[in-house]
Amino acid sequence: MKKASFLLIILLPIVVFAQKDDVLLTSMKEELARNFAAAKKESPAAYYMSYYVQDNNNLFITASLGDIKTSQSARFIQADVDARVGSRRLDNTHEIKNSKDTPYELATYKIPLDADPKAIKNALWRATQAAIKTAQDRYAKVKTNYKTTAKSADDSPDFSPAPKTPAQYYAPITFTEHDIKLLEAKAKKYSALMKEYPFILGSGVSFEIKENNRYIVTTEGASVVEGQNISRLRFTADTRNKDGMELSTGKIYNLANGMPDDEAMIKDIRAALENLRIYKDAPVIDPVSVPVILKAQAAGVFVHEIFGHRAEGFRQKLESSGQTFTKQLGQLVSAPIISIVDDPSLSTFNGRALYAYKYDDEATPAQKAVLIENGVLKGFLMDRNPIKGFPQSNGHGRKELGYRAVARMANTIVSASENMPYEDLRLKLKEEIKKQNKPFGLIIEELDGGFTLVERDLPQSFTIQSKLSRRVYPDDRPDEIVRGLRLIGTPLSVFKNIIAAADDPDIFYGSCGADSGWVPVTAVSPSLLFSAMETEKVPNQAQTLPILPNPAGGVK
Amino acid sequence: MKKLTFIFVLFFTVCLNAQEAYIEQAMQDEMARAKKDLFIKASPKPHFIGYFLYDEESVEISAALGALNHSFKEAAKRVMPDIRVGSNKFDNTGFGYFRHPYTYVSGGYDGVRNGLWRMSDIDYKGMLKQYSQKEGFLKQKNITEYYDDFSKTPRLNVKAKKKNEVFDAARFENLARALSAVGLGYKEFKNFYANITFNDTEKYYLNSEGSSSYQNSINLFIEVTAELQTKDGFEITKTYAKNYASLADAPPDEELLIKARAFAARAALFASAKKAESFIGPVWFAGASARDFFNQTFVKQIINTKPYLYPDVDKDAYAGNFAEKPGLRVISTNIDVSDDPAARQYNNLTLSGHTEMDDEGAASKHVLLTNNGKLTALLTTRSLLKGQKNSNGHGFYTGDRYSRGFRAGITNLFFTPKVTVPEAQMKNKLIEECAKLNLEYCYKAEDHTGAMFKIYVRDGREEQVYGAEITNMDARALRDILHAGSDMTVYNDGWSAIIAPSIIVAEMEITPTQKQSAKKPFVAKPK
Repeated sequence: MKKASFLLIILLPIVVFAQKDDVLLTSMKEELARNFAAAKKESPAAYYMSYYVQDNNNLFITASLGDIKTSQSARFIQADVDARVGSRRLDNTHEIKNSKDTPYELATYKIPLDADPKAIKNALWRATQAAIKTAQDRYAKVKTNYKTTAKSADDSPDFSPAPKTPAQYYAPITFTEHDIKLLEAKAKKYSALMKEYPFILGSGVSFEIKENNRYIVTTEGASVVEGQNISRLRFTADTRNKDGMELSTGKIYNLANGMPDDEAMIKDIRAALENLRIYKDAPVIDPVSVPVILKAQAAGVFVHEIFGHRAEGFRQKLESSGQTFTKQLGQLVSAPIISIVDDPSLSTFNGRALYAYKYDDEATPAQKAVLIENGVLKGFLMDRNPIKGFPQSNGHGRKELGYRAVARMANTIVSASENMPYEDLRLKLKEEIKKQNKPFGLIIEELDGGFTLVERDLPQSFTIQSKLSRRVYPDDRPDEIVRGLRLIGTPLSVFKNIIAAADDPDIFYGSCGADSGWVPVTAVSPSLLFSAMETEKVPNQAQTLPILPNPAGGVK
Repeated sequence: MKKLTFIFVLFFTVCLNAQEAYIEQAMQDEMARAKKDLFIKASPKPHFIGYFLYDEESVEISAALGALNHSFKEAAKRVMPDIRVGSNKFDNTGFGYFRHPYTYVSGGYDGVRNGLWRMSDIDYKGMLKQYSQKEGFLKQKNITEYYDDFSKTPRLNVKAKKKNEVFDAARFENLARALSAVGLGYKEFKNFYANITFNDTEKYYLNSEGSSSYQNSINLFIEVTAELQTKDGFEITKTYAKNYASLADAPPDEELLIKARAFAARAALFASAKKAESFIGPVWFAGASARDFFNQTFVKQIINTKPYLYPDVDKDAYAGNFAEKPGLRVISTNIDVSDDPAARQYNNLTLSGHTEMDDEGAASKHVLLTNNGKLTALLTTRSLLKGQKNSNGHGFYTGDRYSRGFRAGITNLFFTPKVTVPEAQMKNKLIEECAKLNLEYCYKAEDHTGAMFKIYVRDGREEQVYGAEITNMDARALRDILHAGSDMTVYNDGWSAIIAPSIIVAEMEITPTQKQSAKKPFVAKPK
């Protein structure tokens, strides 16, 4: 039955469309050729252009307290144009030093849903006119800035050479006919559970189903059409302590792994809400520096935020970037047991789905990028923006529509050459607490996002907020849920503090926002034990509890 | 077959009533306990609580050059409280940059109550802060005249009928395609598109004085837009738009297509437009430009008539200044202005502004605003002005960042001329007025884009210009209206409407735009 639901709702039968009959693709190719032929003669001339079109089929259902809040589906197609003028050596995307002017944002244009070549081409033509003008304007600024500022430490070209064999790939997906009534019924059922917990202020259950076909054509001859399905089920609930601290819980399910059955969902929601009940009135922890275990999903998020963004290739040559790891190649940057790769070509991990793609948003084949091997920094995530020692992309040029692609993470996988069962890791934490003569250690179960500062004019530090943490005593006292802490630190030292890992790799499914917009990502990691990590208090909005009791349930 | 239809209709009605009932019940239940217990000890209590629930359904359709771009449908319920602390004489309102919180809620009793509960809590605490700030501010000022913040009004219960209008998305998708396909015949247009939006909003209201209302507003917006570039590169966007308060009022598709074709032909002429020159003299405001004229010159001054106090600025920039002008001549003696919330239709067209109750629970009444050009009355709310005793039911919530709150607003605003010029004679009248001033030409505006027509006195020739910016579009111009056309037209706008004729104004100042022309496309548009 479970499998049947999965097939009905989620499975995306991949149909081999006839490429020649794809009006959108044909129109894109023809209009790109026509416009590029003219743009090459402009002054300054375009040397490269690409059209990126995304055909979207979204379904968004939210429910709260047993009833539907929103249920909407949207089908739309949008385009953006990446135009490059000047030369591969120096073009309009080059960094303008001492300026906030970045080349990442692109204008978006509506493309007709109807297979109407004339209307499609008109939209692309208008997009191209604007893109070339914007590129020419910025190129003028780039040239002046290049001449009037000191040479960058890494003066690599702005765009890598054309691939010898341009990508040719055609695998669109057919969009799913969703059983909306079934999804609404599930959302209502799960959200109704929250009514039994009057301490909850706001809550919701949502299905977010985003299917799309990406169309990419370039003047280098690449033609890629690739489908993607990001379908998630999510629940959230928030509450407030009487001291005003806002607290929340929630979980995201990747529906590519199948629709969770009702029993499992209800169990998960109840467990999360019971934890939130304790968490709400848990003691606030003062700033400390103690041994810490990051549980598997939290460890994945941590590595993504603190290491991953600093391993994005384009940041290694930006003069405005902190360049934390730029000169660390070949050196130990983490505990020797740790290896990290990012592999967008990997579609599953331990039988569970990842967010894979065959080609990145610059039409480069997805490749595994080895970032850290046995603690030693080996490489970076690369798009087509070359850096010293890394002239080629490794298929990590990613973007949200409306942005120019830059190197981003996809499926970041942390592994440990030595590991142990989680219970042993926990014992090791206790040992470490005793060894360091600390009053307690921490287990961070869930993180609530955070940020890492990568700009050079800011401290190169990170701040990650914990969603659920436990204080662990060195003796036999039971663990205690604590609240109000954020992990802080600096990236070069923190990974060297890893002293052990468990054998429990788990996947975190998330969305990552950075210079090229929001992209779906996963982070896979085992639980990690750090010899020390520092915490700080979270800011408190100091809102009092509601004056009247929650009308749902009628009790506090 | 007949029987089946009957059963369906009956069933639908039953469901509908049930839906209204649970919303009203949730509002009443939450109101009952809020009135009793929503307060903090030793702090001012709410002296008034209002609850709003907006049940909104909307469809947005867009097509360009004959092809559909998108067709989105959305439905959502939103609740917003209006909590006022202190007393009727002095409360938190009319001061600073406050706003009432709102949230989207699920479509059930529990969702509505939960939303009202959470938002009321936030609103009450926010308004307490507002109250103390206002109190502190006034203590520092020497204010000798202060009028009640919230006057009494009789209890009123209004229950309008649900309109039950069914939007046929497939029909309007095809209409959008057809309207936008009109542009295919013109090489002048860089883009030609049609947008159609439909909004069906049900507004539920309940206040702590026992007043309540249910009102249903329909809004169908059809817009056709042409984007083009003049020979010297200036970019022009021309739009033809119509707003209907009932689906039944929309003309047949073929009639809309004829209008779109006429619009396209006229818009295409602007490809050869020349840049406007400086000009002082008569201007004919035809069509939507007359609405824009009255909006800029009259409506801005008759709304928000009681200025807000701000801690950091001396003057409320959003307050209309007609509050200072009762008895003075504010408009041509030929035009009487009235606001008539009771009017449901004009010329067989449904009016958006029809209402029986405003957003403060007061009965909305007809107001004759000007008589023989003199300002005879103001649109009022329950927050009193000098000499005012009661509200005439024009307190409406505005969401503008700086002027938000329950402020004086229009319903159906009629600009009624006593003497009219037949529509077909307006051009001759303009030419006559220009000739009197010995001018070579005068201007005709059809919208607010600055793309206008020069009309030559000698032969009546029309010449397109672009970049004509009117610099004196203010209340002074109202007194310079020379002629009004016989073409009284309805301009609906969501919850309000303007009904106005085309006009000729004696002296408008036009200066050419400083905006620069753009480079022409480096490659011709695709065929």
